[in-house]
Order: sequence, then C-alpha cells, then structure tokens
Amino acid sequence: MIDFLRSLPLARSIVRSLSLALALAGLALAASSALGEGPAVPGVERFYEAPANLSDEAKADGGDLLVQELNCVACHKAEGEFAAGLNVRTAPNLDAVGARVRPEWLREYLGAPHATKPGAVMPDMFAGVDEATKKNEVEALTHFLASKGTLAHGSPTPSGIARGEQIFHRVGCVACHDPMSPEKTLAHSAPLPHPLSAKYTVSSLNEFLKNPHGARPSGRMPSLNLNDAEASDLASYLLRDMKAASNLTAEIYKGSFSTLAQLRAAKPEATVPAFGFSIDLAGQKDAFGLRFDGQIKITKGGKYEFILASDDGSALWIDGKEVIAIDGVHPKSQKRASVDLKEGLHAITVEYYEQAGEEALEVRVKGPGLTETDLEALLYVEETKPEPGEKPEFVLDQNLVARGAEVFVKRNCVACHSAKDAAGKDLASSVSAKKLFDLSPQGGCLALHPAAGLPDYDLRPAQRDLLTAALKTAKARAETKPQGEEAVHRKFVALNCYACHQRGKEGGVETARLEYFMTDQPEMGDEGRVPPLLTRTGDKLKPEWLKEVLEKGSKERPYMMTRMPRFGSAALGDLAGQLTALDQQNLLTEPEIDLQAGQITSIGRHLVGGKALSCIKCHTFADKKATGIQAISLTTMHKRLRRDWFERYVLDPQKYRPGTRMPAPWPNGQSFYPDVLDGDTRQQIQAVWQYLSYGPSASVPLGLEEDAIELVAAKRPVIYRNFIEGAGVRAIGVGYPEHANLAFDADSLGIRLLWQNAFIDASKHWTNRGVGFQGPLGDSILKFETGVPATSLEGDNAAWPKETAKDLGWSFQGYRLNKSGQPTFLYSGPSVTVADFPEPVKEGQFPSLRRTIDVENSGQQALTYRPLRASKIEPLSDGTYRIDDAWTLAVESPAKPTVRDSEGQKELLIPLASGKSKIVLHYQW
Amino acid sequence: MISLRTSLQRIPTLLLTASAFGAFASFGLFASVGHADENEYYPITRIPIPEDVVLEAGALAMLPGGELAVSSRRGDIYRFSDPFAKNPEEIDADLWASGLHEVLGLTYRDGWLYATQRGELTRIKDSDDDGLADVFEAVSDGWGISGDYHEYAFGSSFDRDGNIWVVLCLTGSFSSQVPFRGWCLRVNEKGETIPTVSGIRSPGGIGMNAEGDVFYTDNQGPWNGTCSLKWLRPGSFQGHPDGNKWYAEAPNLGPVPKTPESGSRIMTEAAKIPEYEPPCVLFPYAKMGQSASGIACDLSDGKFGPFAGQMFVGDQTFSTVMRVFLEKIDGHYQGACFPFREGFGSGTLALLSTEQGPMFVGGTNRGWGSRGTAPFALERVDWSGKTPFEVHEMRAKPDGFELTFTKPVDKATASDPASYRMPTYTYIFQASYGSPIVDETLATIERAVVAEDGMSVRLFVKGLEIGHVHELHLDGVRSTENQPLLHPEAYYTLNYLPKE
Repeated sequence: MIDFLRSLPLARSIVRSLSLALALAGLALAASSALGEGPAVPGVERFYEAPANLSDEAKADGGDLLVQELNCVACHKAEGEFAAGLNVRTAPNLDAVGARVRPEWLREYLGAPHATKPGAVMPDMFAGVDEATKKNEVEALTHFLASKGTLAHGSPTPSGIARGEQIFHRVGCVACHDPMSPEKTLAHSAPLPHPLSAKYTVSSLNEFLKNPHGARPSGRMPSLNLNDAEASDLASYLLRDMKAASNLTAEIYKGSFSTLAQLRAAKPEATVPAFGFSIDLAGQKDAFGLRFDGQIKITKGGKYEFILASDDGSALWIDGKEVIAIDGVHPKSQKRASVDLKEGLHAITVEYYEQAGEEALEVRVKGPGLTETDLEALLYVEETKPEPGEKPEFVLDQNLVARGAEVFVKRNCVACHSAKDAAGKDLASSVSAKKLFDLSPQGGCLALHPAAGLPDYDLRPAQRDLLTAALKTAKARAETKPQGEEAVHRKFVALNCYACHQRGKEGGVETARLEYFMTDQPEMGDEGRVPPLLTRTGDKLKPEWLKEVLEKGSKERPYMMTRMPRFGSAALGDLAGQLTALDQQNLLTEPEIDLQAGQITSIGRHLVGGKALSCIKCHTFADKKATGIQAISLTTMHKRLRRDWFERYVLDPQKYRPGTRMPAPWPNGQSFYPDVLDGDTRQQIQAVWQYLSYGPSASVPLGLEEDAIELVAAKRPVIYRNFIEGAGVRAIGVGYPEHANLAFDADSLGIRLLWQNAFIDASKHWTNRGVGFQGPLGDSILKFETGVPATSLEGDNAAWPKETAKDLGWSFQGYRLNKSGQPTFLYSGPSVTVADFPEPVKEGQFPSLRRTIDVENSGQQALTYRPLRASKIEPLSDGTYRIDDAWTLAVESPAKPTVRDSEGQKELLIPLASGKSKIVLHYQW
Repeated sequence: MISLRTSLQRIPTLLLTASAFGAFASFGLFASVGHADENEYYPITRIPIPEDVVLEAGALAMLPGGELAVSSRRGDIYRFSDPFAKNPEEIDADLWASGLHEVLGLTYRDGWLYATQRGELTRIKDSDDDGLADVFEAVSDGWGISGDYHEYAFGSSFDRDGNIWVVLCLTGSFSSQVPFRGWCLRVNEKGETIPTVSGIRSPGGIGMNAEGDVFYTDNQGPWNGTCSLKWLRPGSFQGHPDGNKWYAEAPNLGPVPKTPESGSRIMTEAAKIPEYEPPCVLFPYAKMGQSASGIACDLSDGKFGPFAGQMFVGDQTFSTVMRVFLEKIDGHYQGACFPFREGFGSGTLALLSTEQGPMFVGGTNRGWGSRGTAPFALERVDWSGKTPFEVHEMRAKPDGFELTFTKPVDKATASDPASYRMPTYTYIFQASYGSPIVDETLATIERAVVAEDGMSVRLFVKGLEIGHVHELHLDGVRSTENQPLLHPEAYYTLNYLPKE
C-alpha cells in the first residue's frame, strides 16, 4: 500500500531547488559590504556614542564597556579591581558549531566577517594577509569548525511562517533586532546575518533559539523561553526565504470519494511537489483526494502522539502502517494515536479526500520534549549532492581539519574561543600581547588599518574615541571598579535591559520601537504594554524573586505581549543583589492585630473583594478574569513584592509608578471602611497582605465568580447536601446566619470542615450537569481528618483504627432540626449512639462554634472519643488547647482529655465510661 | 461534510419553528400548549411556580389531604395545595424541606415522606406540625457514590411487600466504580438493602404496572442500542455487564451471569444467558424519543380516559409522554409503545398518575437539552372527557397481531391490508455506544380481519421477526366517523412469539 521509494526521485528534485535557494543566498551575501560600520554593541552606541558632549570620564566608562564587549582582555591581560569590574562578553562556544552553522557560511564569514555580517563583533584575523594564504587558512579553519557536529536540516512550514511572524514582532525580539515585516532599519539594533538561511538550517536555528546560552554563554542574546512549537515557528519565519523548497510529494485525485477504500482504488491525476499538507493543491474545493508522501525526522526516540483531523476522510501511515483512519463523510473530526518511534527517519503518508461542503486537514504531533505542533515541523528534506555546474557540496576533508586546528592557534582564534584538536587536546594560545594597562591609547588594533596579523574590528571613529579614552586612564584605575549605580548601569547597557526598561532617568523603550510592545488590554495604556519601570526595583521586589526573574525570565503579565527573557546566571553576576543593596528601604514594621490568623485573612479577603476595595475590578485572580481590565494577578503579589514596599505603594501608587491607573485605595492614608479593623489603615493593609500571602491557594475573592449562586443563611441555617471538597460525597453543609459554616460527612461521621463568612456557591452543582466537588465560599477554613468517632482502644498505645466508620459498624442515622432550624446529627456504632449538636456563638465580629456531643455507651467497655488529630496540640489552661498555632479548642468532658503522639501527628483523646456522657467542644478560629 | 452549507438554506424555517416554540412558552397559564389535536383530548395545564423558585422537578408524590409533593434537583421539597384546581392560579406552593441531594424519588407512607437522594434513602416528617420538615432519618445508604455527577439514584414508591426500589446509574454512565452502581436495590421495611437486579446502565425513571411489578427506563448507550422500558424482575440481569463485579457482595443472587457477546442481538444473547431479561419495549431512537425518563401507570379506573391500567413513559429530550401497552408472554413482559402527548414545557422527567385521573409531569432541561424550552416546569395533563380514536392495545399472535381500538373502526378501510404498513428492525447489542437500526425487513400484512363490533382488528402478518421492533403504520384506517387515528403508529417489540 505504501511505496515510499516511489517518491524518492521527486524528493531529490525538491532538494535541488533548496540548494539553489542557498546558492542565491550566497550571492546576496557577496553583494552586501559595509566596511567601517563597526561592531554593533547597541547599549554602548545608545548611551556613549550617540550623546554629544560626553565628559572624558563618561567616555572612559563607554570605553571600558567596549573593552568588555569586544573582549580585549582575552589578549591584553588585565588584573586587579579593573578586571574584576568587567563583565566580559565571551566569544561563542564552538564545541558544536558544525551542528549549528552551515560550512558555506563559516567560509564566507571567516574570510570577511564585517562584510558577511555587518556589525559582527568578531574581528577579521586576516586583514592584510595575502589572498592565497588567507584562502588556504580559511578553508582549513572552515573544515576544522565544520567537523564539530553535524548539521540537521528541515524546512520552514507555511503555518509556522505565519505564526513565527507574530512571535518575532511581539515577544520582544524587536527590542534588540530590526523588525522584518515590514522591514525597517532602526537605530541601536543588534545585527542579524542576512539572510539568516545562509547561516542556519531550520533545525539548527530552532535549537539555538530554544537555548541561545548553550552557544553564547554570556547572555547578550537572552532566551525568550520559547517552547518547542514557538521556536520551530520562529525558525520557520526567520528562514522563510528557503520556502521555495518542498518537503512532500503529493498525488492529486479527482472524484467524489466517500471512503478511504474508494480513494485507494483510484488513479492519481498528477504527482507534484508539495510544501506542507496543503489541501489547496487540488485546485478545487469539492470532489478530490490527496496523498502526501514524505519523511519525518525524529531526534529523540520515544512515544509520539499523532493527531489527525479532517473533513471529510483521512488516514495517517507511518513506516507503512496505518496509524489513524477517519473514514466516511463527516464534519471535521479528530482522532489520536500513539506510536513508539526510534530516533531517525520515518516514512509518512497522509491520505485525504473531500466530497463536498466544508474541507479541512490538520496533522499534528507531540512527543518527548515536543509540545503539540504541526507535523510539518518534523518533515525532513535531505540536502543531497548538487548537479554539475552548481556550487560544489561541502565535503569534510580530514587533512584540512587537522590543518585548521593549527590555523586556529596560529591566527589566535583560541584566545577568545576555547577549542580542542582532533585528539581532544585543548588548544592554547601562543601569542603574548601587551597587557591592557601598558597599551598605547592609539595604534595597534585601534589603527585605521591594523597591521597584518592583528585583529581588525572595523571600529567606527566614535568607538576608537571611547577605547582611547578608556586606555588613557586604565592604568590609573587599575585598582578601582564601578560601584553602586554605575555598576548596575553598565550591566543594563551590556545586557541591553534599557531597550525595554527605564531605571531612574536612563533608558526605556525607544519611540521607534514602541509599536512592537503590544497588549491585548489597550485600555491599560502603556502600563499594559511597556515593561515595568525598574527605578527602585530592588525596593519593590523580593530579592529571591528578582534573582529568579533575571536568571529565568518571567511572564507574569498575561496582557503584555513581550516576555521578560532569561539571561542566565553567567551574564548577571550578582545584579539582583546589587539592585537590592542600592534600592531596598525598610521603613515600616508590621502592625499587630489582636485576632486569630484566619480571621485577619478573611478581613483581607473581604477588603480585596467586590464589597470593599474591589481590587478584583482590575486585577485577575489566577485564571479568573477581573470584571474590568485584566491587570496582573492578585495571586502573584506575595511572591513578587516586599511587604514594606507594598504598604508604601498602596498608600500612594502615583509616587512609585507615575501615571499608573491604579487608584489610591487609602487616599491620604484614610480608610473608606471605618467598620473594618476600626478603620485602621495600617491594619487593613496588613490584612490584605496576609490574605495575598496565600498566593494561588487563597480563597477566591468575593464578587469574582460571575455566575455564583451564593447560598445565604438569612434567618435560619441553610443546609446543602452535595459533593463538598474536603467533606466527601455525602457531605452535609450547614451555613448559619452567624456566618459560621460547617460540613458534616455522613460517611466518616464527623465535621470535616469549619469556616467563616460566605457559606457556599452552589453554581457548580446547580448549573449544567453539576460536575465535581465544591469547596467553601468563605474563608478561615479549618479541615479535620476522617476517622471513626469513638472506639475502644486496647491500651494507651494502641493505634487509632484506620478502617472507615462504616467498616467498623457505624452508620449515619440522620438529623433533627430544632425550632431555629439547627441540625443535630445522629449516628451510631456498635453499642453506642451519638447526638452531635453544633451551635454557632457570636462574640463580637467573629463567630465561634460550640459543639455538644451526647454519647450513650450501652456497652460494658469504656470508649475513647477522638475529637481531633492535628500537627500540633498544645494544652493551655482550663482545658483549652492551641491547635497548629492557629486556633483554639476548649474542651469540657467527664474525664480529662489526653494528648498523644500519632505517627508524627498529635491526637486529642477523651475517655468515655459506660452510660451517658456529654462532651462540649468549643472551636475558636 | 455537506450539512453545514446546505443546511444554511433551511435556517429560516428553523427560526420560524423556534419562534413558534417561543410563542407557546409565553402563552398565558390557562392556555394549553403543543399538538392541537392532542389538546382536544388531553390538555396540558402549567402549574405556576413561585417566582425566584427553581423547581427542576425530580420526583412527585401525592400526600394525604390531596396535596402534591414535588422534589427538585436542587434538593428542595415543595407542597402544592389543591393541585387539581381548575384554575391553576389557585394552586399554592410552600417550601417544606430543603438541603437534600438531588431527590429523584418520593413516596408517602404512615406520616413519613420517603425521599431517594443520591446517597441515601431518607424519611422525612414535620414532627411539630409547623409546616417545615424537621426530622430526617436515614433509612438506607447501602450503595456507593464516587462523586460523579452521573451517579443518579431513582427511587420507587412502595411495592406490594413494602419495599422501596432504588435504581442506580453507572459511574459516568459507563462503568461501575463503587458498589452497586448499575444495580437496582430494594430497601425493605427493616431498612435492609437487598441487591435485586444487575446490568443497569443509565436509568431515567422507575415505576410499577397495574400488577405491581417494577420497571425502569434505560437510555441509549453501551449495551443499549436505543432507549427502552425494562422489567426489574428480581434476580435478573439487564444487559450492561460492568456492574457484575458486585455479585460477590450479593450472595442472594447466585452466580455471575455470563457476559453478553458484543455485536450480537438482544434475543440471541437472551437465549444464552438465562438471567438476562430483554427490554420489554424498545423506544426507537429519534422516532419515539431520545431520553426515556419517568414511568406512571393509570390506576384511575377510567378517570383518565380509555387507557386504564396502561403505562406512560416520559422522554426528556422530546418533551413528550408516550403510552405503553404490555402483555406477558412466556413469563416475560413485552408490548408496544404509542405516541401520547407532546409539547411539555421542559424536558419531561417525573410522571405521576393520580387516583383522581390527571397526570402530573415535572420537567427540567438542565445539562440535557429538550424540545420544551423552559428550564423547568410542572404541568398537569387532564382528560377532557372526549375519547380520541387510538389503537388501544396491540397483542402479538403466532401469526400476527391483534389490535383493539378506543372507537369502532370503519370496516372497509380497516380490513384493507393496504391501510397498514409494517417495517421491522432491531439494534446491535454491543459494548460501544448506541446502535444504528439494523436487520431491516418489511413484514407483509396478508389479511386484516375486523371484529363484528368493529372494536378490534386481527392482522395476519408474514415475516414476523423475533427480537425486532414491528413498526406498524395505520395511515389508511378510519373510524366509523371517518376519522384517522390521532396517532396512526405503534412500535411492538416482539421478543417472544406467543403459542396461541
């Protein structure tokens, strides 16, 4: 059925057209030459070259940065504090350069770096060298570098190109690089090879984009934390000029097919090269069929899930086996199947037919380390030998590889790039250049045309000026290094933080790039699209959060299209620590509030919610939408922000974030809510902070659930039997008018949850089919373990039984309501009956709960009743216990309770003699 | 796929139908709704539900003193006073109990109202007579629930021995994750819970016939090619094998029945598995309905018209009530279903026939859509006193069927075989979801012999098929008043062929 070989000749012709595209790219390279443009260091250009009238001191600072970015100290050694103050941009890691960069590119680039890639930071090491020598040595170097790894190929996908264009112009690439669609040349851009396809293959660029620090450990190209699909799409876009190639062959069938069998019995009308699984190939909308053949390349063996969707029929074959078939005529339907695939190439075939009406075909895949993406991304095209007359294919010559290792040392490439020879031995530099402090501030590398054999950086006059200024005073500054704000500034310049952020008066998004900072919340204005101000950021952010964001990147603002990229620790040094040391202020102490912790939290929740400050009007709560704009989630506040800053900020947002749309919740320090914590602003802020400290596990603020059906106990208790999270499938929720609430579990026969304020939202169970468990709507939630209510223990050390109450012969008997509608729960076990009457007691602002438990033990044996198992049970005075440092339980019982250890927990036990006993438990929380 | 584009052209008509429905829904409370001809015989009256009350009626029961108790999926129980009032505005509703877990069974006895909740059979009373229930006693919790919304429990009224029967949906309607999902249990007067029937999938209601035997409706899905009415014969297996793992906890029921072979036919498997009780009446999918629900039996002795002793079954999707005639052949119930009444306000769920005659119908369409557009409804079907011209009974004979009618037939049309047509078909008995119609045949009506009094017709049929629905069309038959039948169709499920 599947004859993969049939399609091979065609695959070759596809490859031919791909090589042709590359040859054309080579021509484009040769045509562009830009001598004298200088190495591009965007930050230095923006802050030290562009401004006029810089002081000599400032010029020296800029020069120091160039010394750092051009890695002058690789040859011209420097010591002491001066050297310690440099955060050197090291050269790319060449260990796997052969797997990353095309050999043709290496050859062009080594021979003429500045012409091949205008703005290249690498110096030309062959300036002034005679052409014949240069040609030989470049060829040898090319082979040496090409021997370091094997290039993988791939081709751009049409859908990937479209998505990649969005990614490139939205996630932050354009903060440093020029925009491409439409093309624009902006000031202070980091250069890219043109076209990128001359340097990279789709596979190698994809790998580089996912982990730029592997090749370039100094973090000047940060990682945007692209996932597999995003990296693959972006690589497709950046290499879209390779699109002329096809990656499949397609057979086109005409006819009204309604089954796969009919399609398979038909003869194709034509066989054509195809680029992706495009159903437009047929040239008609109805009554056609297609069969695509090709190969996919699996780089990591494992289980792959294929997803096929079509309207009408389709089938997917892998290595000659039918994996998915969607037969018949139907609306768009989807099927999935998993296949174990070994690393390597696999033949794939996709069959498809469309009878009439709507048409669609999607083929997707996910697998080890691969998030779901179009299968097109894995399509493989072999780049085979060119035809006679075309550019000769690169064939690795081992003799030249060995020779290249020698040239690598001879031309002192090794000063910047560490490398090993073929035997695996580290290559070492044999050049001894003058020390940095002994350099003349002119001539040498700084000469307009450096002598043969010296590195030629193709410096601009302005760059020479800066370097000269630096070298003039370098020796005098041998034992100083930038301190404080200057040290931070230099890092911001080198890492181009200023392209996105402003700190103090420096930096910020340049006007020409502002349009590439986008948002899906236009009503938020620039706050919604421009990355945050970093003025006093070390005061605002927790040091550990600051470190994490800088090192790993972040995406806390869903409305903002750019991402904070990952710079990696090598690039940063202790930037987080430096920011903290410079900025942090500790001006406030936490106010004391004389309430239980849960009570403070519930006040905080109230303040944040819709009946008080309404923070939820603008701030989301994790995935729950705010009612107005969708500003940063309340669940992120505590992990990001310092308390001291938070209090000062909410008292005067404009002071810390000029122009913010955030209103002052406590204008002039005054509270709008005199009844909450006696109107004490500082206590109210503390309560909000304490609530926010629960992060994503905080109870959802009130007023955020759009379609809530809140059950409110107005005069009588409200009872709610349903699936209650934390209280089982036979839960009986009771909400009391006093705003105490409980959930009794009719299976485990005990109270499993106590909470305060709002009772429950019934919408989960009372809309649609009522799927799932619903937790309390209120807060200050206490949770209790399951366990049989009472048992007869064989000795003091006998473990509490682990069997369920039901298995131990207990059963729920029901409940009675008193005149006020309060339930008494009735349950019984072997020779014992229990009447369990919880009753809320309102004392001041918060309720407590008194639970009277009448036990009738009709057996002869004494019983033990266990009201509680908890992490910590600390006896206070008068039968009162402090539980988990969070709440108190007062116990009245016929015999004194005991506390004992229980597998890392504590148990409270009350002995019960035969006959009737009464226990009163008073929960204050 | 063609449907989307081509169906666009049909949209104007669809919209028209929808707005027509809307117009029905906004009729005044006195207005009857639905099928105009049906209205003449069995008008539907909407019973007003107090504003701000969401009464997704799950179960209905009569209370002493003539009040109607209505339980809701939200867990409330309301008492409707004077439910038979000619002017429905005179009917008042009062909340009696709340906080229960989706009550789908209600019945009254000796001062207690018995409510079947998801996890418990509970009896409830108002001990201090203040109008609000205050004692809630757990009678049985002898089954498991895992927290899956589909784990419904439907409860019956008391049977002749004082048992309440509880029929339990599978977990997710597909598997039996906790004890006795997919079973029917009986709870006796001592509160003991007795495993009674296995093989259940997704019930929509439970009820008894005039003899007091208990039936339930099951819904199209695995091992149910279409919806059906099934007899809960104690000890029987109803076809879905997933719950059979609990036989170990049901020693009273003996060994586990053999698992049916997927892809077979109902009667083929019935021949192999003695415990397997084939469905009494198949409700052909998309013809008679799509979600069979509540069951009622007319015990009013003629106060509800000519169908005394017959059963009625709701369909939630179609917002209808069907009529069912059963007979017993070889110890098994089988019979025919007929359209009875359409146009209920919401998705028909609970049915209650009363001694007084009228039938109450409770509806909800939450989670499962229905033709009736109201989210919930409580309605009463009255008999207008006029007798519709209908097939009254349809009995199998060794060589055909015997039909009786509610009015004398016109001998000329009724004795003409061309007045009838009888396609037959069945469904695949299989583990995968539902089934298409299969094994289609066309039976031949060879002779139609009209009785002397014109009240019955004997059809001699060639090509009877065991295990098939025999879909009888009587388009040509007229009454002596030259009227066509109000519903000229009947669907007889011929599992067993009578010997005489």
